Amino acid sequence: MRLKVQSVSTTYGKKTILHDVSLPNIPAGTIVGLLGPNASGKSTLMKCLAGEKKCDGHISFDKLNVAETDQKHWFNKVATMPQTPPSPTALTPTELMWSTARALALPISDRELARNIERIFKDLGLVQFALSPLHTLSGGKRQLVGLALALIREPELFLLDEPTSALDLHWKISVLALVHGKVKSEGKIALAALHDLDLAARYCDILVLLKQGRIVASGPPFEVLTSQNIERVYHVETEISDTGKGYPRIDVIAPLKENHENA
Amino acid sequence: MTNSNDLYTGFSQLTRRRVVVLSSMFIALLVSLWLDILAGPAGLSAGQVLKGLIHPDTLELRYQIILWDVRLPDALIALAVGAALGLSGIETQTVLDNPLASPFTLGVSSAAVVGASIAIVLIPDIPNLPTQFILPFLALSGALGASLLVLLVVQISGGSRQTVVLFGISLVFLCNAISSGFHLIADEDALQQVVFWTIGNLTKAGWLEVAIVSSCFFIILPFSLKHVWLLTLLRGGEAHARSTGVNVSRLRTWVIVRSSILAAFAVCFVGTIGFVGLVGPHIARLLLGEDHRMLVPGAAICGALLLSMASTLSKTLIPGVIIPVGILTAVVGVPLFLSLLFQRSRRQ
Amino acid sequence: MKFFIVTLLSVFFVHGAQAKPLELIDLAGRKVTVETPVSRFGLSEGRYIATLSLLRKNNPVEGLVGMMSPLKWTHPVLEQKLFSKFPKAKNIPVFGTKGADSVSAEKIIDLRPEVIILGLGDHGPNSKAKELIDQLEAAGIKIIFIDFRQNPLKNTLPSLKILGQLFGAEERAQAYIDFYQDRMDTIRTRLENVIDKPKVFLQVHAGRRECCWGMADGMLGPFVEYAGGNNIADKIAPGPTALHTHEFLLLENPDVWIATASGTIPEFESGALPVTTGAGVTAQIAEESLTRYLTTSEFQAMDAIRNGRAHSFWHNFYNSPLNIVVLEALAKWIHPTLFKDIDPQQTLNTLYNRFMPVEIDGTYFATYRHDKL
Repeated sequence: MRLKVQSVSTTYGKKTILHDVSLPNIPAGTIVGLLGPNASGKSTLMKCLAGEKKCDGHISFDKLNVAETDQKHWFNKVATMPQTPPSPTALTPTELMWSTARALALPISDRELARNIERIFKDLGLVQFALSPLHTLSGGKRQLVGLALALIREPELFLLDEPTSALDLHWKISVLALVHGKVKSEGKIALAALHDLDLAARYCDILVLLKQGRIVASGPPFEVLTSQNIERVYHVETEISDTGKGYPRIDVIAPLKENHENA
Repeated sequence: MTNSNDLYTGFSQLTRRRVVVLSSMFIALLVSLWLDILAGPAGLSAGQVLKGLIHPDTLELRYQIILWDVRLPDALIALAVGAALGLSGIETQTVLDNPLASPFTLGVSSAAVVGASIAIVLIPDIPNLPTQFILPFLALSGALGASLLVLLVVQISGGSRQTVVLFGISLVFLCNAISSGFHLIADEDALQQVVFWTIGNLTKAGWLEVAIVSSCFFIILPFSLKHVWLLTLLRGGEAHARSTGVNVSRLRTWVIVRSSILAAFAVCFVGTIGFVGLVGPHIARLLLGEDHRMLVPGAAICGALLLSMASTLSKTLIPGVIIPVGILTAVVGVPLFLSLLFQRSRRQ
Repeated sequence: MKFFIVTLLSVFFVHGAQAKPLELIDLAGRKVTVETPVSRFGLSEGRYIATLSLLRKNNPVEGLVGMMSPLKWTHPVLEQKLFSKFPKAKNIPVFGTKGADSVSAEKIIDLRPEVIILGLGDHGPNSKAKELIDQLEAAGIKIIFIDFRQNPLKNTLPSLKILGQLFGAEERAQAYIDFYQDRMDTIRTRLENVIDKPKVFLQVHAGRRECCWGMADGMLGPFVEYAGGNNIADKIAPGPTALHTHEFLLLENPDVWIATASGTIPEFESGALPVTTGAGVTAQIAEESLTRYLTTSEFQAMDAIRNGRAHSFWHNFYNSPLNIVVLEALAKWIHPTLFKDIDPQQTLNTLYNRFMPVEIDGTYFATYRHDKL
């Protein structure tokens, strides 16, 4: 078991954002999809896992407890792709990658770093933009650069906060396929916050459904993505079917009127 | 495989090109220094100046003094102050992600004016301090006091950019108000003195001041260079920096500490010369991009170049008369900056 | 025999006029050794040429290699007269503009003066301009501070003495000093038993600067006290000059109001406010410009104006050894009966006749006539 997340709670000021969130133990080679509407606590949970925020509860990866590990050491193993893509400045993707690698003191030579960067850029279709200023790149391309920045660090655990939100269909699929391939072949773990339920169902081994900082359901896609759960969390009426390829298909029918439920 | 060389080659070429640009800027700086040393109402030829630099005794005494006690210190203080302001400017701009940021906008210069006003209007006596150092000392104290306040705010606010910038601006207004208070009780002479000090004057500085400001610059430079990767990374956005484990708040603190100290020392002897710390970094950015390995020294060089050219102009526009250099930094800097901007936008 | 004695005497006389080192303490308290008489020198402000004219009637600008600001800024008419009489003076170089910051040390050194004469508190570099002083002294140039502005009551005569020594005009300087001292003594002795000290306000640059800048304990302020008056500005101003309000004047309601006049004839003719006196100014213009300035409700409410005890004098007396005429004018205006016989204009004429190379013309003092309103 590589990733353990148990009873995680945290607040921003007086407001509790996460209530006692526990995930099933996650083995190597797993992709976890974090689902839930905005302000359900997905980003905050990622910050807890990334060590960016001090949270209550138990979080450990490869037997290393985040609360007891030196931050630098943790960041060697864990890389976050934040929700905000890199800023549109005159900086070029290559420079950003290079400076990130050097600031983190990655122990590789210049040539090897260049090779790695080029490989990642090729996978993400960024080669022709490698030396163009970020402000000339579209939001989608910049988001891909954000992913590249996580990839160059070669972490064991990927935390991807809405990695496909600005991407067109081609790249949405390509990115998830890329992450899927990498995780499976290298025995890593990726946690991705996603809005697209179909893609989540297709590419994730485990799904975690959050609402207002609490777990509604967690487990394989078929278990989590039920009409009832989706209705409860997203307030939409859906029809779930089996694609026959091992994951469900979600047909969204209509939005439902707002219910004032007590969660 | 040629592919693998493309990015490496491309990036190396880009870096090499920038190093060439940086070197050219440095050469331009040396040329400007040379011209500044040549400039002046005494009719010294280039040959005489060269001779006087190598074998001072071959010149008659008054030319020796002109070269070694008047022109050289003034030319060198321009370099030292310009470099200091350029360096503190680029770091502050990057770390606050604000193109208008500089230690001046953090209140350092306005606080220095408060100190100078106190010195000029009240003419206090400070024990154990020779009279000619009272004004720089008070200006320095004011400037460092302001940076201390800004630092406190950084700590309390958790390093939020906006808070820091807003606090800096309020400090500027507060200090301006306090200075004006002193001006109310000043007589006409003191008022004029304060005004001129605020505009800036390189001629009051001698070799000691050159040594102090240069030492300050060279002591702080290594610390800035140590952070070049972090600063470049920071240009990718605060979210990215935090996700990489960079303690942005701490970086901000360190940068503000060293930029304020550097700027404080730079202005306490020559007055609050404006514009250099703002435009020097921008010109460097237009020429060198965002790679702070190049940009940090580049901003220092640009600042020094700007002030050096202004210094030459201040001596030569009206021969035999010194025009305050602070007026000319804008006269030199704005056209330079605008022409670079237009070139850049035409290329795009 | 007579011829022999005369020749012998003249040899001694000639020998005495050769350069000899003089050790003096200048007005900044600095000990300076100079070779006198000085043959090449510089001035901070051109206005000191007027002073030099006092001492060297026949060659006022002989040896002057440069100055920061030209004479025309304070004495335009005098400059013209001097230029026509001494055409060499026209091309004397300038090494700055209006302030100490504009001074080019290099230019001064290049002009090779032996001595630079600076003022303690004038618009040029003062004793705190350390870098400049170091540079000049390193080049072998002596710096000597005089003062006719910061504390003229104390420093006018010592400054004159130094200038006399510098230019080998000790006798002439002494003659002026005696004249000056005699006038001062007269005023002082007459006031010895006088208890009544009328309240006086001395306003600077009337009509040019906003109302009301006053002279307190600096510049001509102390002259007021010496002339038997009570300087109301001095009581509350923190420095040598300060800006007072109309309200302050109305509250204090001084017995006498005196202003320095820096207006020019073109300004008067265009209807501008600066009170005008000086060369080429007629008595009528002087009086009219004063009246023009004082016909505001605030001034008209003051006793000093209503009693016709409002006066003006030429502003540029204040930074010059001619300030003795100001002292006399103040005494006369503050204690009119006591000093009925004193005539500052007459003193001025005498001074010009005896000491200056050019003639004087114009009106330098004016009194406001309330009854003529």
